[in-house]
Order: sequence, then structure tokens, then C-alpha cells
Amino acid sequence: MTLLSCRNLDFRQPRQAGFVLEDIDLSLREGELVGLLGLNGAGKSTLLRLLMGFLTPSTGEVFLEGRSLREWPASAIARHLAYVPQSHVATFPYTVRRMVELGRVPHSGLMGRLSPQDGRTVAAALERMGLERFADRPVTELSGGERQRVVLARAIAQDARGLLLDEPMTGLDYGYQLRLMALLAELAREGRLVMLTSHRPEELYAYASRVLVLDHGRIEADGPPQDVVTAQRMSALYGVPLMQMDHAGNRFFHQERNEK
Amino acid sequence: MVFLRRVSSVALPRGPAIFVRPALIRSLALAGVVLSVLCALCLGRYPLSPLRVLGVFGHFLHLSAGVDPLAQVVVMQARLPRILAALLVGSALSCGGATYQAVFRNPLVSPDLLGVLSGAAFGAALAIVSGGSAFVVQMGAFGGGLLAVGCGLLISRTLPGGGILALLLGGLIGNAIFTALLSLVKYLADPMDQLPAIVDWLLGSLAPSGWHELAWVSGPLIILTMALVLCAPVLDVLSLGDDEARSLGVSVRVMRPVLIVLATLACAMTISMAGIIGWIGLLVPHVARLLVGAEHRNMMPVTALLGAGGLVLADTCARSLTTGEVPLGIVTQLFGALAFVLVLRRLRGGMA
Repeated sequence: MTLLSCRNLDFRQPRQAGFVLEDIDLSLREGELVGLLGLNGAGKSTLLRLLMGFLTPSTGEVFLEGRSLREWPASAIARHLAYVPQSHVATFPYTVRRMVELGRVPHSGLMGRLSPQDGRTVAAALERMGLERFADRPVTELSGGERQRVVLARAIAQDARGLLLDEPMTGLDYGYQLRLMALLAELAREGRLVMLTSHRPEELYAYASRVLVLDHGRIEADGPPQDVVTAQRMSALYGVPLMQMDHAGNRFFHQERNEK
Repeated sequence: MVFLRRVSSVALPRGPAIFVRPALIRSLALAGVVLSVLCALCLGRYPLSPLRVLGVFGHFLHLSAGVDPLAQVVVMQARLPRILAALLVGSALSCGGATYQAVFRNPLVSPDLLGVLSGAAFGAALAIVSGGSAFVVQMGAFGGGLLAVGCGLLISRTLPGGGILALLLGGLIGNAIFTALLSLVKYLADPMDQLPAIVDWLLGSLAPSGWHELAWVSGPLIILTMALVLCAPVLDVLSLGDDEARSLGVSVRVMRPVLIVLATLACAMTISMAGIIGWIGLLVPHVARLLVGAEHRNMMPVTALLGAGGLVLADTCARSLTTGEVPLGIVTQLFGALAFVLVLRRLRGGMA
């Protein structure tokens, strides 16, 4: 079922010529793990923020369950869509547990107390991100990668049907990068829509069910990873000649070198 | 099943260790407030024994027949209204400060960020120069404070981008405008009597607080402070930043201005009552965070109590340390700055 879609979406910064995003048509279904590739400044984050309703499109509209996003109250959107920003700035020393508990706010209300069920969801999210040991530590004392895991745990605790992540791998150590991809694939299998921006075509090839390529504000490719994540397209996108190598359901890229 | 059991064993231990502490600190803070009020009733230019103070209240409640006329006047007419004013002003300033810090995502912000102080000072100075009564000066301060913040907010609307940066810049510009206007009024004021009156007002004092001054301020001030304390859970979410707050279903565009307006109103009322009392709004939230953690649901009530008790003590010092009276603003500024050093040393990784 289509959860999130948009039609003829344009976005341009106020008082600036040229579009950041132009003519975006998308239909994102539950159960999909969608990877979004693109150069720095291609508009990946902008697209996620438009889909979340943080930004208002210049033309066109975003639809959540077929209804215009503007007709949805903020708290109802939050029950449907969770969001993980590129980086989280920790200003106040909230405990890790409190940060993850905030993921339950769309369900319990701002003033409401957490139910035992909420407590279990929070505990499960902490465990999924390996944060039980940190639960009572202030977030300000954690490293960048640990903090990123806290924000991911909060998004998981939000228990939304769609999960939009802006470069969630940033700052994670190698083990958690791999675990996160597996976790996102698992969340998609559970019937959620997962969409992430990434700079790693190989990982998207291995885990994503659908890959989008954003170039100069337009969607240049959209399809299953086997068709989109190819040496030819990646070479053209990143401007670096690449060779591909397939092995056991994975695809690896390496630079073309003129050896001898 | 194994998975479930593991999960619930993680969920349950958040019992006493986390819940008792804020409650304990809250009770201790409340006891501290009561104690500081008692001290403040006894101490002063005319020291009273606690027994005589209690006697006055006993008489007031028709529990004892004997009258102690001198103690009666000192307690009921001089000290009690002033102490009540200190309680109200202290808690309102501290809660306003905590709100500003959370909303602006900056722990080094105090409630005068958007220009409420410079505006209030200008309004009061203008009222003094035009020969207004004490009440007119109060209203001038209140109106000036709101005018300055309103100007700052209006200016921020015209800046591109929006968000916190635009608010900060708008506040900065509003602040500058009203500081300049204040200087102009000072420059034009009669240096023999008006200028000293302005300077005196700027230093901040609770000396003129009697029952009359309390009457119109206390109701709104109590309501505003309670509203700020009740809004505490919203502050947790707002302090995460715009996108994250919105992704949790909180409408930043509505909640942020509402909280700013509440905190600004509270702050402007304290200024109109007591002049400029610095550092309380910046310092007290930090102390509260050190005691009970950053979660606003826990720290806001403690902030209110500490602010109330702290200002009562500061005011008692201001009126009893020397034979004359040291302006309260000077006392809070001096002690506040010194105490802030201690707080910052304890913060470790908490500075952002």
C-alpha cells in the first residue's frame, strides 16, 4: 500500500533563482527499503524534509495515505512517519532513556505519562541499538556515533509506519553500520517504509529493495538495485571511472586503474 | 518469550533510583524556601526573634491574644510583602530563564535575550523623566519591555530563513535600538534628580514593594509561573531543534512563540515590580539541572523553588548587610556571577 507519495514536486529556496528539486514524482509503499543516492548538494536532504512536511513545496504536493500532508495534524504525521536527522546537537544533558522516551510523545501526548507498554517499547528500542548500558547516562557525555544511535533508537521507539533517515551511517562504527542496514531491512520486512539517503551504493545494492538517484534536483533513475546501481551509472554520477564485481549477491565497485 | 522477558527486565528497574531523587530534592528545596522566609522575617535592621515572628502570625490567626505592636508592623507591613514579592519575582525569573534556555537551545541565555530589559529600562526612564508616579513607572517598564520584544520579533519576521537565528538577530537589533533610546533619555534627563532616579531604578530593588504594589502583579505572576512549570514537557521536545521537534508531532511554529510570550510577560512583570535583577534567570536553571538532571518535568519545579528561596535570601542580604540598603540587583549580580563559576566547574561535558 502506498504510504507516501508526491506529484510534480518543485522546491526552490526563497529569493534564489533555480530549483533545488524539480518535477519529483514518487510513490513509496510500505515494506520498501528505499535508498537515495546523489552528490553532495543534489537535494537528498531537502527531498526528505519535504516528504516529512518540514518544508513546503513551491509547487506540487506531498500525500500521506493519499491525503495531502497539509491536512494532517502534526501529531498524526508523527504517528505515521519518524525522522532521523543527519546530525543531532545535544544541548542539554537529558538521559539516553529520556531521549528515547520522547519517541513515544506522538502516542502518549506531550503531557501524558508513559504506559507500561510504552516503557517496553522504549526498552526494546534501547536494546536494538545496544544502549541498555547507557540508559541513564547524559547524552552530552556520549560520542557522536553513540548519540546517532540514541536518535535511531528514538525513531524506532516512535513505532511509525514510515522511517525517513538522513545519512544514518554518519559517525557509526563499522559494526553498527552493518547492524543498522540489517535492522533497517528487518523493519522494512515488518511492513514499514524505510527511506534513507546514503553515499554507499554497495550497501544499498545489498539491502535496498529500490534505489533512487537524484541528480541536479531531478530523479535520474528509480528501480531495483540491480538495474540502478551499475558501474556505468555510478561512474557517470560520481564522475569517477568504476568497475563492478558481483559476488554472492553483493556488488562491489573499484576504481578503474591503468595498470602498467 | 526469552526476548520479552529480557525486555521487561530492562524496563522495570527504572523505579526508585530515578523517581525518588527529584521528589526528595523538591521537598528539600521547599523546606529551604520555608527556612529562608523565616530567616528573612527575623533578620533586618530591627532583628526579631523567631518567637516574636510566630507570635505575630499567631495573633493574625487569632490563636494568641497578646499583641506585639512593633513586631506586628515590622512583619506585616515591612517584611512580609517584600518577601512575597521576592518569592514571586525569583521563581518567575528562574522559570522564564529556563524556558528561554530550552526554547533557544542555549544554556547560556537569560530572559533578557530578546530585549525585555533594555525596553523596560527605556520605558521606566521615560516615565521618570516625564514625572510619572511610581505606578506610571511600573506600567512604563512593563509596556517598554513588551514593546522591545515585539519590535525584536517583528524585525526577525522580515529576515530571511526564519528560525532561531532570525529570532536572535531580531532580538539583538531590538536590544540595540532600545539601549540607544535609553541612553538618549538619560542624556536628556535632569542630572540633579531625574538621572539619579533612573540609575537607582536600573539597579533593581524590592524596597518599594508593599501590599499595593503586590496586588496587581501577584495574580498574573503566579499564573504565568505555573503555566511555565506545566509546560515543562514541551520544553524537552522544543530543545531538540526544529526538525526533530516537528518529527515528534510538536508544532514549533505555535509552541515556540507561545512559550516566548509567556516567559517574556513574566519577566516584564518582575521588572516592573523590582527593576532589573540580573543573573537569577541564568544561574538558577543550571543549579536545578545539576541537582535533578535536565529533564524539564523534574527541573522546572525545582527551578521555581530555588529561584524563590534564592531571591529571598539575596534580598535579606541586600537589606541587612549594611546599615543602609544595597540595591538587590547588585547583590544578585555579584553573588550570581561568583556562583556561576562554581556551577560551570561542575558541568564537565554538559557545556555546549
